[in-house]
Amino acid sequence: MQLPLLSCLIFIPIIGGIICLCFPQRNNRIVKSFAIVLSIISMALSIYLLDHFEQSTVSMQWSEIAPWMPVLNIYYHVGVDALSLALIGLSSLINLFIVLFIASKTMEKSNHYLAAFLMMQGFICGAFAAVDAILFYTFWEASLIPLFLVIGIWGGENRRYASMKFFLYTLAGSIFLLLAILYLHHKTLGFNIMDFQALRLDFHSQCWLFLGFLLAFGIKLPLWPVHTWLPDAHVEAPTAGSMLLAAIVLKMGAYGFLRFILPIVPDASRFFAPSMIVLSLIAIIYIAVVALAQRDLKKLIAYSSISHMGFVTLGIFSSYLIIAPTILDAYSTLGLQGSVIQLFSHAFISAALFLCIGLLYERTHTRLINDYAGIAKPMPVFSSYFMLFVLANSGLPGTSGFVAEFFVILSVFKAKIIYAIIASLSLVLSACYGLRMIKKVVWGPVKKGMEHLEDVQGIDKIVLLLFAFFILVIGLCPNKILNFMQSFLDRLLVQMLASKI
Amino acid sequence: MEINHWLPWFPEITMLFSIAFILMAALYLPARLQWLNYYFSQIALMVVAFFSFNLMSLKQDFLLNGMFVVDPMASFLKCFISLLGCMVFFYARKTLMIKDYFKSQYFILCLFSNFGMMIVISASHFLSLYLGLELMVLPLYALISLDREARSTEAALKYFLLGVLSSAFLLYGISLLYGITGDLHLVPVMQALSSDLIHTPALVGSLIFILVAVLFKLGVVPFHVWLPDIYEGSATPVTLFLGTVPKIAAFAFAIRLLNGLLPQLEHLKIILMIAGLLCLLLGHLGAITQSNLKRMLAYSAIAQMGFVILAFMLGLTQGFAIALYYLLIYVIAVLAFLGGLSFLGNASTEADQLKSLEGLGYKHRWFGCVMIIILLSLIGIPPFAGFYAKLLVIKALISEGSLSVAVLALVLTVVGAFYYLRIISLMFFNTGRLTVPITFSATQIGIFSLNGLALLILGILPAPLLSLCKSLILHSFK
Repeated sequence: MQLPLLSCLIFIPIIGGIICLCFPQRNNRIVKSFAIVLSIISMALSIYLLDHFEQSTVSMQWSEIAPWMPVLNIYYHVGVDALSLALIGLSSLINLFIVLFIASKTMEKSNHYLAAFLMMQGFICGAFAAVDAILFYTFWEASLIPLFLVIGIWGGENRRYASMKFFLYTLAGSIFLLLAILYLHHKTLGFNIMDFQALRLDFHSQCWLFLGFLLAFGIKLPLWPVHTWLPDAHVEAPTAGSMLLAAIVLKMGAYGFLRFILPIVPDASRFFAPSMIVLSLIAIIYIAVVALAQRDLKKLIAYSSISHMGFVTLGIFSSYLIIAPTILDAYSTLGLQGSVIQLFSHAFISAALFLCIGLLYERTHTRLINDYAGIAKPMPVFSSYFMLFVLANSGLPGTSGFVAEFFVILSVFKAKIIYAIIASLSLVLSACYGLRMIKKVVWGPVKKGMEHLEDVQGIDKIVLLLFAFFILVIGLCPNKILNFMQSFLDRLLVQMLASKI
Repeated sequence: MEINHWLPWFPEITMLFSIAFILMAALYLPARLQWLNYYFSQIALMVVAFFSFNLMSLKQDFLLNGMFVVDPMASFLKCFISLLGCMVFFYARKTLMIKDYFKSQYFILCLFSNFGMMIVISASHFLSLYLGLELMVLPLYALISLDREARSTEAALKYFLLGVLSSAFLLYGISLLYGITGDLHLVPVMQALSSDLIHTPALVGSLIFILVAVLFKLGVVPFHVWLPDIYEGSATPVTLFLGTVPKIAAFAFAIRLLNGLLPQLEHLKIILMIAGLLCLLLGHLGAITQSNLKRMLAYSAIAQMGFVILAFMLGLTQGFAIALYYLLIYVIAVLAFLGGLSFLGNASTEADQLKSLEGLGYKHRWFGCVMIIILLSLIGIPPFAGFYAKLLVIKALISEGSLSVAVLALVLTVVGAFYYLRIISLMFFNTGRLTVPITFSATQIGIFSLNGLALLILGILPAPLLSLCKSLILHSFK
């Protein structure tokens, strides 16, 4: 009998988190080592799965199925394809970084803090691995709870407002997801996402389903104009919370687009593609301009993060404009490839940037750009990493940011030149706010009182190095990810093109 | 006479004798031994629960010339309300002791009310239904005024006047129905209604009168205004009882009548739909503006009843089992919540303001965690039981074609999420000093945790309870 590896991946962190909760406060070191060990186990499991993944097929692998609510046709059904597995790997990796980062700090109630992140990891893996829609929804909603508490308990000054807004906003989106799922259940009498994908639907209901899904996943992504919860949540969340939010939680929204919207309602997606492109472009440009005006470091990074997520939807929906149903060539999946790389690139870059801001805040307890100057002198190592991440964020060739945005812009260029011109403005804008920030914070004469800031050391340094490593690896050889995803993307393209009417 | 003949009566007989015994005990026991009544009541309820549980396998059986019915649903509900009673007494104990009410009155009144509910649950005749109903509410009037404060007296008086009014409606409806059909047995009356061509204005009027009484007892809009005042005016132990046990009896009352009414009144579905949506709207909006915890809870009860009513709307085959399931989950959650509140406060202060929860989760982490489970279950967040209850209602609504009702219900749920989350936020995100002391023994927190964790376990394994509800309804209504 085969070990239920996916269930292990989901439930080991959750159960571990509960154990962490029960640990007495004083055994901090034991809890920390315990959490690190659990994260390493998760990581090892994901690496094992990634290694043994059969790349040629597109069907779900390592499937586990057990009746959960047989009366309602709800099953505990998990399985992974390339997209799920890659995102699971990403979340295990980022979670390992986060746990390492937390473990290196001394803080109040760190066992509860670690517990929240471990459980979050389990819930997110569950959401990515779920094949049953209700199971997906369960994990999707459950993942709100730890983050709500993390923001609310360990957050900044305005944390109550931010956590409440975060929860209510995403809950408001999620109910439309639930409605869409139940409507599809009404049609198929089951909850299997694969059945949903195979279901034939008329155009009218496809449009309504599209809007329902869009509200849920668009809020999570977040799409302009429903992004307003994210800056608040990012600014108030503790560093680790922001990292998780940017790196993984937003990806759940993107996952929803690729798993639900495109395969289930392809005709509506085609119909709405131009409007989605316009929304993405507004997000990319408008939010970047908003970022230009920020005086708070963390807010700036938060807006930049939203702006870059715009590339994900831009890439996805631009595909509809470049592909003709009959001719499929190497360029057809260009937009999708760009989006997928952007998911990974964005995860590493924005998590790294939030980590940098967190490290700065730890030392100076201010986030205002004007309070900083010349930290390159006391913190040379930190400053070079910070520079690298900001440049990667604005698309420096050789880094992951460049590859992703290049692919997307190339794809948009084939669609309509004007879109490409607008989208590429983003590179300029992100360089503007990024370099302006760098100029004020890193360069110049050292601000009074900042001469003796301690440079990064120990685990923080290692985590920064790892982030830089992954950003460069994706930037220099993106083929690894692309090859891994290719069969998935090809199938997705077929699903996108096949009319369901 | 052989014992089998008496078997279906065992729960009621035990209850009646126990009440008589405790009345006697209260009279003759010296003051320092009055606490024994607590244990007597607990034992009585457990025995009743045990007998009822064993009767669950019994087929539908009419007794007393058809005035009384014993079916699986009735036995299950009797068992459930007895256990609920046990839990209520357990939670109420601390507050009763502090307030020096730890004597017989509270228990005897509650037991009498429980006895009335058992009759309501098993009634198959309009008269037994009415008698049971009165026996259920009369002790409640007295219970509310147990606390001799102005607001309690006011609450009791309000409840009394409105309760009497609703009884009058019920009686008037019943008498009209008797005039039309010449019978008072539930099943024959409903059959007569469906077979005959007697759809006169008088019939519609009588059914409407009965419906008013049903909605009043359930606390459904527009007959909901009494709930907040009653909840607020009662002492916490009384609110504990009022907020949980009578809901089940009201449900049984409603299910017996609606089963017959639903096919009769063509507009009943629409009436129930509007009532349900109004419940959700007014309940949630009302709760948001409250600063008093009990008032807030009363509005939240109105809102939650909205979902039960929406499930009712779907009728026998689809809706009743789901309504029962929803109600059970809700009652368990609310019991735990009020139980948690009853740990708060001392002789001088009672924790009935939102503010009194401030910083609680910060100081008592475990207590706070259980509270989070309860509140998230009340909102309907997976993996807690409340979610699956809501899911079932919404799913049934969609498969019946009421998509817009489902959308509205869910949107209003998000509105409602705010005030539950506000409690979590007060408990955990405010580090302020505790304004109200909290004390609990290891047993109390243990039972409270089990009560809260039940919501998690029922959420992870929702199937058994759901199948139970389905089979109960299936075997009780053919």
